[in-house]
Amino acid sequence: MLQKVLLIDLDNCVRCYACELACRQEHDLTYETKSRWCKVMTIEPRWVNQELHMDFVPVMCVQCDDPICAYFCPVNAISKGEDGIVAIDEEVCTGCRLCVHGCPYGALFFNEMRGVIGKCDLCINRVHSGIEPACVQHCIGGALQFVSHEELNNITLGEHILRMGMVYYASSKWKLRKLG
Amino acid sequence: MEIKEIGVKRVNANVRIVRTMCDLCHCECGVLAYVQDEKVIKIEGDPNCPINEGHLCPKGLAAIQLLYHPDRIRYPLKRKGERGEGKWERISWDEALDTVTKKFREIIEKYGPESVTYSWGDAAYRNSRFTKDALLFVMNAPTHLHSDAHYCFHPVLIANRLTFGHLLTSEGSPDYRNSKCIMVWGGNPIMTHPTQGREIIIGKMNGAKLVVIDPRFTEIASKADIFLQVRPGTDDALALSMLNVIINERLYDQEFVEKWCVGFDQLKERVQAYPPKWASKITWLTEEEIIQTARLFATSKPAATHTRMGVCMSINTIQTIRAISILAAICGNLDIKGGNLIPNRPAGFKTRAEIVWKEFTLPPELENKRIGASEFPLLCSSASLGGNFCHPPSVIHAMMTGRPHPIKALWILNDLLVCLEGSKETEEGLANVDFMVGSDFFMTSTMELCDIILPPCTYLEREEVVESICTHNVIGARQRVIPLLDETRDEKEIDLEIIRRMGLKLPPHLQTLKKFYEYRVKDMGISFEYLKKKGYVAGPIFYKKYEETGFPTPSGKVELYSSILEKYGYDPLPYYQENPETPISTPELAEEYPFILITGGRHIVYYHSLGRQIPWLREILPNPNLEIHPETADQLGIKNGDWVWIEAPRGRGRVKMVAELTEAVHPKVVHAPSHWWFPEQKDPHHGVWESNINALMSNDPPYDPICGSTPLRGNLCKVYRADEK
Repeated sequence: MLQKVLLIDLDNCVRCYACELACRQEHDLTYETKSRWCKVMTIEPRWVNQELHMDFVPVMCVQCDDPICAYFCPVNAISKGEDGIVAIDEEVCTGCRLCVHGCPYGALFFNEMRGVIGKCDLCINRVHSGIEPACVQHCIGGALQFVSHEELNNITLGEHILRMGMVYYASSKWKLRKLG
Repeated sequence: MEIKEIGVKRVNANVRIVRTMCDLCHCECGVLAYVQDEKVIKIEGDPNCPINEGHLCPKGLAAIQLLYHPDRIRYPLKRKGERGEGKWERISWDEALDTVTKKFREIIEKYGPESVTYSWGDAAYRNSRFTKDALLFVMNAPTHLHSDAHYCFHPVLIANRLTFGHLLTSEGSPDYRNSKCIMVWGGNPIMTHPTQGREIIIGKMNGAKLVVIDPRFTEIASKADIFLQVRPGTDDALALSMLNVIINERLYDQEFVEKWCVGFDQLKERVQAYPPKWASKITWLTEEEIIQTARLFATSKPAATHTRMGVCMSINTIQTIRAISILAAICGNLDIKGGNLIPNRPAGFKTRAEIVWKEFTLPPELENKRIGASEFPLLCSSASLGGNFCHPPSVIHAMMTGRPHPIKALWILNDLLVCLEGSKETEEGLANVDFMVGSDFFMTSTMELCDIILPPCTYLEREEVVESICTHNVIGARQRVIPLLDETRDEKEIDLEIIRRMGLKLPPHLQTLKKFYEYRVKDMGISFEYLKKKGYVAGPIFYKKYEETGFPTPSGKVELYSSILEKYGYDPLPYYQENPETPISTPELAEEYPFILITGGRHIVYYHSLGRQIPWLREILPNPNLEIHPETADQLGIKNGDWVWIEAPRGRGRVKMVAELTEAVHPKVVHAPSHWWFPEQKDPHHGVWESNINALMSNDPPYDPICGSTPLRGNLCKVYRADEK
């Protein structure tokens, strides 16, 4: 049973794209596969309380508690393991893409080269060998961390701003301000 | 240090892991290359490397796509048709090297050694600076065309050495991690020097306040406590008014100033002309912003200061950097923990600067034949503080006019047409060079103009001693990961071979690369083999080294009033100077060309001209994006994603880019990225005239009087939709 979750500290994401590239290399997602399992989104520059702000949000499959994609799969290729990771059995997957449309986060991709569905599996091979996911290792700002629940609470003091499945977003920047 | 068993369990037993160091930017991060059947299958950051501690940027992570790129030049080539026609035939190394040797020898005999030169940018500088310098040295050739000699790093070197004698405000020196206040001036280290960006974030996590001064709201600016959106090209006014506040409010380090600085009274008198009220009109900042920033910087100790390209491309570059350097000095931040450190390379290590300046220096009468030596003695003459280079725009002019002397043979190691301002003049100049040999990974528009092309290898195919610019105390070893692909060769070996074929001799300790690497580390009491095994060596860090040695300036102190500048007839104190083409200098021109154009903001996925052919990188940034304020765009009928023309005044022409509507720039300012070309276009121009912003830049005077830099960040332009005439 995997005890760790992905903590994303938005204050430290610097939009370096290292997570995207590390992911694509680790999982051999060449350009032709049209698969970007990990993406950095930008909340464009805007004025908030007389200050200019710009924020960056890395997004990937959040490993839902009760994965909707699995309900869409007609051949039961998607399952949530004991480690919490939602994995796709490539042997079983027929590439029908129903799950791609079912995912509310847009986190699943049809691999154009291999004809099967792929998505972030938190680098399952790495983490089962005790190594952090590739995106976490290469993150330049240290925004991505792979932590136990205890570490998570020590870092965020329980005040992470959002949890989706196994992905926890945190930011102290926005909490310091009283809006309005 | 053993290679951490990273990932070993996941790969089969045929995979070996080689520790080496990336070479795709200044940072030179430690990497682990996974090799199976003599093929590199993966590149990761090395968690044991003190430079990057395991992380790696997109360029480094995509290095396999560079190594095995189908368009890489892998064999020596000879031009078949006319120059620039794009017709090539494969030849043997022997034929290629014989041709180069013969041509160089002929031209030297006929026109003298000053008529041959190299042109290199940054990548070649790091890889083969020594052997190129050695070759020029044995040929008695004084002309070194380093295409960024007049801006980028070298002005910082000159300004810092005038002031402290050391390089202190450039990357590698500021001790961000231990700082209480970090001031990043005119740069976005996350994009340009990812390891430095990371250090800044760590410093911030440790409690430092972050001040970012930039006309653009960049990634690093979005993390700042204070962001000053200064009008492009007025950094000198801002720095001088901050000095005014700090001096008049007596916030400076009085003990340090008294003991270690000369010229404080003159400086005090000078800055009286630059109160914040005056500066606020010049810089578009409020008086309060300036005063608050000055107070924060002066009262946070230690504070670390970093100057980048943004302050290096005006006609007042040196004095601007000097003013910022003086801020760091009088607030007592020199060589203290968390301030700006004097380098601590391991004792006995032969640094780049030491070797180049001591081993390859020609007699003054030859050095002073260097183009630019009389106009910019502190950049180009035998008294240079900036690194034995010519003044690049003057070299291009020499190619065009033959004055002060013609350039007849050129070895090009960079993409001059996109990397140097004045692309059209550059093309015209290159057409006048009798013989050109090129070395590059890919066929660029510049390579297409050559007569012979030699294929260099990537960093994964060679070994050497590494002295990373982004740390002040680490050295390491680059290792050969796989054998050379096809007929590529290490550029350094090519240089040594040319020296041999020309019948010239190097001193014994430099005759082979192996001997040379041993020579660099010998006095550390280690061998190159040992360094390779160990990977990296970090020197211990000492503080306030100047207390024992003084500062290596003529007075032995920090020269607020520069005796060297005085000696050469320049103003010994920093001053304010408006750029030549701004709404203030040329108001009539600004009526037709209403926007201030800043150029050259970097993106992390590209390194200068490199990377646009690499699919993983290109996908992240597919187009040259012109940053323009939404209100401005609205008035011009421009929507996000529209192609627009950017037109420069005075007949300099226009180029096309994609409008990116963003509040990151002031409504009166637009920002255009540099170095754009389109490798996917296979004709010999490769799209070099479509979006290359350097084609709109002039390489004519006025220049900075000391380092000869051109005003590339703060010219006028107009912008309109590309479907309008």
